[in-house]
Amino acid sequence: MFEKILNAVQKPTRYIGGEYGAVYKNPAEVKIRFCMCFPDLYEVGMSHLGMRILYHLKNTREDTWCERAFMPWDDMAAEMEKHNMPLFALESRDPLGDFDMLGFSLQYEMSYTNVLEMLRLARIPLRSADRTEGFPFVCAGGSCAMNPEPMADFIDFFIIGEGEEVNMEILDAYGEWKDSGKPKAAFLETVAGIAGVYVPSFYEPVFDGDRQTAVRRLHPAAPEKVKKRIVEDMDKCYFPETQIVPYGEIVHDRISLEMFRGCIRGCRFCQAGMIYRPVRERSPERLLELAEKLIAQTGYEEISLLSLSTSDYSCLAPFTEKLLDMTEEKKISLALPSLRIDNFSMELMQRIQKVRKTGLTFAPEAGTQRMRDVINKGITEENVLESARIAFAGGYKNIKLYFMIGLPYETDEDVAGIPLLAKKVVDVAYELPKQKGEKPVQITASVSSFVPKPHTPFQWEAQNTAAQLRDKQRILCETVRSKRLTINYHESKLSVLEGVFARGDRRLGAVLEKAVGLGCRFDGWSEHFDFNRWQKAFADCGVEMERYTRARETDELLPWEVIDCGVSRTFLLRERDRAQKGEVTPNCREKCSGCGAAAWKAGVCHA
Amino acid sequence: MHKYIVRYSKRGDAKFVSHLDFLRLIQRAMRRAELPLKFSEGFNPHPCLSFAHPLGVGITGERELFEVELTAPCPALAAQLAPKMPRGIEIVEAVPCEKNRFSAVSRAEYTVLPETLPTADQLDAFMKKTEILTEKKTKSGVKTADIRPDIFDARIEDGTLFLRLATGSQANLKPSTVMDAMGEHIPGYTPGFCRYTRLRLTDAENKEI
Repeated sequence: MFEKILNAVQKPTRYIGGEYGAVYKNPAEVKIRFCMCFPDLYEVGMSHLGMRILYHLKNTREDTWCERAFMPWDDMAAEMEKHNMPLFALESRDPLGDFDMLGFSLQYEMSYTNVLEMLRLARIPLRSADRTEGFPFVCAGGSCAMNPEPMADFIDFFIIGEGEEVNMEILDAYGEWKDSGKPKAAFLETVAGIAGVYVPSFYEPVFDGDRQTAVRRLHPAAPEKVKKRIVEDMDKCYFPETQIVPYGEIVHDRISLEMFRGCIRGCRFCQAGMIYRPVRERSPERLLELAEKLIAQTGYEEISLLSLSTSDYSCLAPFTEKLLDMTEEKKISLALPSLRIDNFSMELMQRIQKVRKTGLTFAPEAGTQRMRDVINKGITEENVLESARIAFAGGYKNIKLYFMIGLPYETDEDVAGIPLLAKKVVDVAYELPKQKGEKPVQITASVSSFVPKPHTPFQWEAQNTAAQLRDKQRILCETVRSKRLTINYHESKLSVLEGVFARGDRRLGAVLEKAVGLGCRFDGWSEHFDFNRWQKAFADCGVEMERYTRARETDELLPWEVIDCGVSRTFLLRERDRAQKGEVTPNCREKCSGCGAAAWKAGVCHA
Repeated sequence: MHKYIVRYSKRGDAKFVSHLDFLRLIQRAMRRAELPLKFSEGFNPHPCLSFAHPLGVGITGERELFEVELTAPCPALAAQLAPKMPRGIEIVEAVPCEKNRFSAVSRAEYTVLPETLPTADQLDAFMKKTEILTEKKTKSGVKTADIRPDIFDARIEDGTLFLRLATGSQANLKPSTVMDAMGEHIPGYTPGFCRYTRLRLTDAENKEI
């Protein structure tokens, strides 16, 4: 039957497992069956580094077999329903309902509907309260778990922060609980006591109108605040020495080598820059050792260095020189994403492109200096133009520039500054001597809409309405015209919805359930996104989106403040104040700004 | 320059791996085996590999083959490569070879396991037709073509249907097109869901490539 189904769908290799590096065990020989669930297509989920790390980490345990499940595309979901086949794990093909525990990765608010849809396809009750004894535990982690409230009705427990240590502690506790034969509630009481675990059913939010006014703790095992977990020493921290090599091409189809966590910069819009503090690096020696092993294990022809800001790695030049010695010999290309405009080296770029020339991406984020100071980006127009000059001289033809609109305190002039700056980059290319028959340059400005995120200095700000964003998008298109410049922007309604769930509270659970019932899924995919359905879901539940996009008062309790991400409220308020004044805050290496992450005494704070 | 012909099987779920993905899979397996690969010139250097004839998605292959160029002799090629393959792909043999005969490919032998086999009489009548017009999907769209000249043999053997079909650059016929045509031209016969296996590729004299 499965064979018949596969014959009827596009890209059957999404569903067959069996890739080189996939882990197979005898189910009779393990005590714990865990399934990592990614609420998006195989190609997206398999590209996610956190998923890769935790899959291999859990499989190092003899008592556990960790498998994978992804959201099937429409054709597959329809075939499965037609043949009465519940959602299954790729390795064993056992239905998810047969597992001990399911772990969802929450990386994007617009994938929440897919979480519910995956549970539905697996025929598992969506709400935690309805999953009686015998159903698997459903947990979730990832950056969106930093505001767990919108998903609180559906998830038994959230894992807050980095998962390497806490996941193992949870599996230890699960093994003991399984032997004990106690009811499910006993396991939840135990994990509530593990640092970094949030059990939402032990907390009850209290609302008054739009606001959440309090949180009632319903169980003595539940801590007042759940503090995120981090791994203190990156060299001692587990990192897989193998990687699954998919059959079909996935989004990031290459070796991903994680250089460091956190970011020294502190851009005020950036949630990752706040929640992954403090900066902790892997040593060049450890990275080289990992690179060599991963190259031999996977056979990949490309390796990518991962971090929030590659060029801020303390010994980038000597390290990449050594890495390039290794990769050039093996005809492996090296990708350096997330380069900062103000500190990348020409020599490095030249050496990298010896193997393979890829496009170059820079993120000025805002079009005017005033705005870049507001968001604490800390780069100048001259940085941008000089980088472009270097890149064009080095033979690069395609440069992509990332910008945002809808930032706090933004004026029309700031918006118009985006195409103006992009045009200046084009002009830089015209200034350079041109060789005959040379291909012209192409600049792409990709402009996303800012969404205020929890645990950032902008968490109190009002989000632009869809109409405001559309007006700003019009300014983008009408300011300058050039054949060499393409301006892309995002669907404004999608950004609004993303903002609603980013800063949402527990009352959104009902809306999510309604939306899934109305057929919402794959909302991050434009061919699926249907704002009318969402409007209906909100209206049916009597919830207004404006409740969540509005500005928040500083004396207001924020729904995500039950989570302690390590950065203090005082620091966030101070940064908000500096943003209003357009004051730049020095980076973590220049000067400690007292955010609170130093309490861990790890990484950059320890030095 | 050291050329080798590698013969392999592609079974189980691996049959769902498309030709393009399979090419990439073999390249990566070669790198994992740390073979002395010869790389192509240019900005995107890739190992020098060529396949005898692509195998369609969903078809099992018993004796498929590709050629690889190495910079040094590698007598243990098959043994080195075998453990680097994902589930379902097995290396049958690897032999040194001066010049491959891939351009001589003109036929392929298949076994087909449909839900319902045609009877011997039905098959006989089908093969006795001088012309079998059917819809054939090509790159430029769906065309009606006579497929009879491209069917060299069709008989029932051990409960499966054996087919010998034109394969290669001159003429090419997919086994699924033949099964569709049987459903269309044999009165009262519906093959239902079919499993396909390509047994081997041959030249015009039915000699294995």
